[in-house]
Amino acid sequence: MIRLGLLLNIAFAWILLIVLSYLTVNVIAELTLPDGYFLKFIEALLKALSVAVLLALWLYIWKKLSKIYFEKLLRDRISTFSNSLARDR
Amino acid sequence: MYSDIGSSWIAILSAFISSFLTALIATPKIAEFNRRCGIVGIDYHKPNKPEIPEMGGISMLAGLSVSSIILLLWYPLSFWYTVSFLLIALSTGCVGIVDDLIGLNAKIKPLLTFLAGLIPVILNTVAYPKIYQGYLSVPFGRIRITILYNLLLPLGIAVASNTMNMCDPVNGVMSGSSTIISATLLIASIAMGRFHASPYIASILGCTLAFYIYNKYPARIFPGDTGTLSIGAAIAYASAIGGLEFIALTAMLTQILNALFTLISLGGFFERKSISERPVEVLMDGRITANTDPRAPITLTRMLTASKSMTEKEIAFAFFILTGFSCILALTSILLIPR
Repeated sequence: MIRLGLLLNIAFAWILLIVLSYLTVNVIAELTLPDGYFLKFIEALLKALSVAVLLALWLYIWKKLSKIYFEKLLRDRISTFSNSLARDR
Repeated sequence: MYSDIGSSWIAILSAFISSFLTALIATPKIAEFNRRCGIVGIDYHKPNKPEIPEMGGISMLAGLSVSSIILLLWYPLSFWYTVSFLLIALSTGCVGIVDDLIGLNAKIKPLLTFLAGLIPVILNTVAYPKIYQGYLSVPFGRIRITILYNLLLPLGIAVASNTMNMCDPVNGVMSGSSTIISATLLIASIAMGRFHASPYIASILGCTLAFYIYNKYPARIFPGDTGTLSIGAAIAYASAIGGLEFIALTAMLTQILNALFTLISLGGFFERKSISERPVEVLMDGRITANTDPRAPITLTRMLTASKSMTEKEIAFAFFILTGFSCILALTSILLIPR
C-alpha cells in the first residue's frame, strides 16, 4: 500500500537533517571571531547565514529528488492508462 | 527544570484523563450545536457529498483548557509554562475560529500564527524563572542561540500549526496523526527526563485521541482550522518546553513534507477554495484517485493515489504508517541527542 519511495523520502529528509545538525554543532558553532561587540555581531550573523544556507541546500536536494520521484510516479500512471486503453481497443 | 511537576506521574495522568474526558463529552455536543447553527463543511471524498459539522476543534481546545486549569491549581510553580501553553493554544484556536467562520487570506494565516507564537517570547521577558533559556538540543550537541531562539520559537509554532492545517486530507488523518505524534513526544519526554513537558504533551494526546473517535472514517465532525492550527501550535510549543524541538521536527516530517510538496507545486500560499484543480478525484465507487491534470497541486494524497485508486480508509491508514515511520525516526534521534 505504501510506496517504498515515500518512506525513503522521509528517511532521506531525516538523514539530511542529522547531517545539517552535525555541521551546525561541529563546524558552524566552532566559528569564532576575536572579541569586540561588532565582530561578535558579525559572528552571529555568519552563523545564522551558514545555517540558512544549509537549510536551503537541504530543501534544494530534497525537492530535486522528490520531483524526480513524483514525475516517475505520474509517468507510471500515464503508461498504466495507455496500457488499459490499448487493452480496451 | 524550573517546575514543580518533577517526575510526577499523577500530573501526566491527570492531564491526559481530564483532556480526554472533556473532549470526549464536548465533541458530540459541539457537533450538534454547529449543525444547528449551520457551521458545516462538505465531505468531498464521499460520493453523496454529505454535510458534516465543522469547527470541532473547539472540543480539543476545551480539553486543553481543562487540563491546563488543573495543572495551574495543582502545580502553581509551573505557572508560566501552563499559562503560555494555554495562551498559545487559545490564540491559534481563535485564528482558526475566525478562519472557519469568515475565512482568512492564505498569506495572513501564517502571519497571525507567527504573532500568536510571540506570546511566550513576550511572557519570557517577565517570567521568573525563565520559560526557556535559548538552548536548542540537536543530534551531536546543544546550541545556545539566545537571541535567535526568540525568532525561531514563533516561526516554529507558525510552521507546525500551518503544516498540520495543510495535512487533513481525509477523515481522521489530522486527529490520528496528532495522536501518534503526541504519543511519540510523550515517550521522548519521559525517556529524556524532560518530565516538566510531559503533562502538556499528555493533554494534547488526550484530546486528540478523544476527537479521533468522532473524526475517524466516516467522520461525524471535522476539526476545522480551529483544531488543526491549535493542535499544531500546541505540539510545537509543548516540544519547545521540553527541549524536544528536533524530535518534534522529525515526528512531523510527514506533515512538513506534505506542506512542502503543496507549496512548491503551487508556488506559494493559496486558500483551498481558490485552487482550480483538486489534487484528487472521487470515482463513482467512492475510491479516490490522483488528478492527472498537471495544474493540480502535488500532495501526499495525490502521490499515494498516483499509481492506483484507494479508499478513504486506506489513505488514512497510509498516512498513519508514514507518520508512524517518522515517529520511529524521531525516537531513534533520542540516541543521537546528548543529555
